[in-house]
Amino acid sequence: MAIIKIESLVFEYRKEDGAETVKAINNVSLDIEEGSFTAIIGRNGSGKSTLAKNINALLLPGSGAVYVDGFRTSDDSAVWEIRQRAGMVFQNPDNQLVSAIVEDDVAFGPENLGVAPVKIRERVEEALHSVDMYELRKKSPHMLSGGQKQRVAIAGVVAMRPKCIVFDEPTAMLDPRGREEVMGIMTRLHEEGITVILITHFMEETVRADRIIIMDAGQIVLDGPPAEIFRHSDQIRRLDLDVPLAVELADRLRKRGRAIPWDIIEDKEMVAYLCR
Amino acid sequence: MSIVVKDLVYIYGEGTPYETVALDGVSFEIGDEEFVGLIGHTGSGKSTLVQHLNGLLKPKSGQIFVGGTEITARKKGLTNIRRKIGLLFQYPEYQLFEETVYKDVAFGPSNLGLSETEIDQRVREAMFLVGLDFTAMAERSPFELSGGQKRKAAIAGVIAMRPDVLILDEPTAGLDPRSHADILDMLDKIRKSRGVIVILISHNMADVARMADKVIVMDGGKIALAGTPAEVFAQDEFLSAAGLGLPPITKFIREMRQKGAKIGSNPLTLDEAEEAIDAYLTTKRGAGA
Amino acid sequence: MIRDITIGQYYPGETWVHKLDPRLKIIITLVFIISLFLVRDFIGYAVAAAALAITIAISRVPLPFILRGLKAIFIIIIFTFALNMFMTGGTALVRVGFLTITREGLYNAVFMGLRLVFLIIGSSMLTLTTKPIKLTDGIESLLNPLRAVGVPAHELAMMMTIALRFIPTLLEETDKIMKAQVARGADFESGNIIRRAKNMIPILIPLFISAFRIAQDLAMAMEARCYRGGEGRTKLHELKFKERDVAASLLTVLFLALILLEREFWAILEMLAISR
Repeated sequence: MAIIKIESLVFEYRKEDGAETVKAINNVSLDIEEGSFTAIIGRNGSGKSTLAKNINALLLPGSGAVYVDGFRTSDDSAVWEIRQRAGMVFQNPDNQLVSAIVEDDVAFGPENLGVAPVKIRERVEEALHSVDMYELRKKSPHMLSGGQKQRVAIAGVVAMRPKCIVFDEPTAMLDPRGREEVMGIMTRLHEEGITVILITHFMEETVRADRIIIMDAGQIVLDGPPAEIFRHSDQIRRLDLDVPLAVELADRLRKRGRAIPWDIIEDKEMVAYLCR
Repeated sequence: MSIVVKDLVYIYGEGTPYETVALDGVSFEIGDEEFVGLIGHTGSGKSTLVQHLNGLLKPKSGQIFVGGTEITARKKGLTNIRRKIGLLFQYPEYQLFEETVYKDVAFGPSNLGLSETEIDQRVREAMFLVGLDFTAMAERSPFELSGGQKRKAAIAGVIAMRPDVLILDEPTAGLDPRSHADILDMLDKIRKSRGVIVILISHNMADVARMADKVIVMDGGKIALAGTPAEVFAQDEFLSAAGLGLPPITKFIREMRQKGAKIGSNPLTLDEAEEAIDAYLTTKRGAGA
Repeated sequence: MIRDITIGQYYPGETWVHKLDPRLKIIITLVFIISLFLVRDFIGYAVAAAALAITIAISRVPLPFILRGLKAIFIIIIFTFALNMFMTGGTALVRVGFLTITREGLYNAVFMGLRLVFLIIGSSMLTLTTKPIKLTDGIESLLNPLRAVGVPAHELAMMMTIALRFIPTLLEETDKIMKAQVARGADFESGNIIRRAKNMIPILIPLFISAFRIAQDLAMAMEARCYRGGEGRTKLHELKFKERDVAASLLTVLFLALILLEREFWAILEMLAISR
């Protein structure tokens, strides 16, 4: 079943200097299955972040429609239902935490939903455990590393018990360790049944997804499972995006006349193939 | 121009409960026109170290010589040091403040008390080096630019001071692959045209492996390892213990070896790796036939 | 210098005083301050001092820590003291040039000086033993009944919460911007006042921009987590009046009674004499 349905979505914004409008999203239609892990990738200005904010009703369609779990985002009365079902984690780990104490911050969402205090406590503890931050629940965010802050932000969303979480470039400002932590949590949440949508410009992060959507100039350019997508590596490079190392190496070796199977996209598979 | 650092010690919040030794006896030398990759996980002391190099922080003990002059001894005359050593912080676009890109890039040179013509010349040169088109960009507000362009404008602001040493703290953080590549190309260009020492702080091991002549690894406020990229990245166990990774290529080749592949060289770039793997496949087929 | 101000600094502890309901602590502090203005003589101060001493002893906040707070306002105390000493008419004690110290002046000076000292110590006891976040909860809860007359209780509390969260972030940001501009040859230390003020522009503008960016990001993150004002919101930490709070309330009533009794001691004595 599709948890998110996007129908001919167009989103325009006005340029700061005048009357000129830019189509950040130009006629995008898309279904996202419940329980799937979708990576949306594209260079800056490709419309990927705008698309993410349309899913959460933070931005509303110029034309077309977005449905989350059956609720239409342009329906005023459905906004809170939508935001509770489709949570969102943002890029900057500092600017999305509200409280000076970790556990209070995680409680922020459930508090807004009007959950009973005893139940909030339960949810907060569960959410903190799910991102391995329970030990640090009394700390102040400014004492934490970037990766830890981002995990707190994820816990804050998890505590709202969403069906789907949209991650908008969650690792862009993190060091490799923080990036690994966040990717690990994301994979785990997906395994627990949460629909994950990852917006990123790091191609190596998309390998874990079961579907990759490549956007450019407000439109979907490629859409399919990773092995399928990386057959188009030349086109991907032309869009100023990288391809994973294994794909890059396979391409280069193919040019030297070696027949590397097309379904190899991860380092491990490539190593195993080369050393078979 | 050379940099010599001897037994540098720095302590944060001395005398408070939060006291931490940020630099613990750091010594190294950097020669003329060298490109140094400075790596270490967050909190290992990299940023503290580079802030000492242009006098923003004063060490508790130890000495720093820049081009033979000791900069740790005196209090006055730091402006002279800062003009020689350009320091670019993380997310430098957050320091833009002027109405136009031109004025912002000119901020550094005008603090040096240069003439208008000299300033103008330097702004043009700096914008050219970072790849910002002068006619199109000079009179625009820096706040209207795209993320990558803002970053370039901020870098131009430091380059316009014509430093002999250029220190960059994660200059590509948060940029998309295209802007990332642009910044690295720019570093190459600046280095070739101006012959400066470059110190690049980065978490991106592939960049360090490709660009640096020398790699310095910091861990717990100390220099844990130093040498050529090939030497340093051969120490994979040590690096992972320090919370650092290998360049993806190096890691890939290592994994092949663990699976029994015989690869003699230690490739650090994709081109080298392609060559090595191709050679390996050829010999393997030969052996199998 | 900023570090010397104890007001607003929390001294961690698990004592009886720390655990009191923040609302009650705010009220007790107000009662204490009012009592200081009711006191007419030094015996009254002795009562107040005793109450304060007992509270400090229970709270286990070290005395030097408390007195540090006085250092910051030392000048004000001296000024109050001097003003009262020289400006009160009455029986002359000592003449120094054109200044005359009177008996009444000296009395007033000591009296007002003590009032100020008690006032500062009393109110810093509140902040020393109450976490800022708890204090915020307390203020919100106390102001809540005033919502009917238009006091934005929740909004004020939310503002305080966010301020507490972002003060460290903005301080770090300021430090970073300052260093970055110094690295570009900026000079913040020399020149006259006007020049110095002008030199602050390269710090202030980026700082404002940062603050706006944080505000924008945070507003979006809060909305995404279903924030819609105080209406229908629940709280993780419910303020509950416990036994110790009842005990503390009784003690406070006792204290106020003592202060009033002492103040009216002679009047009461006279009344008793007349009735007899």
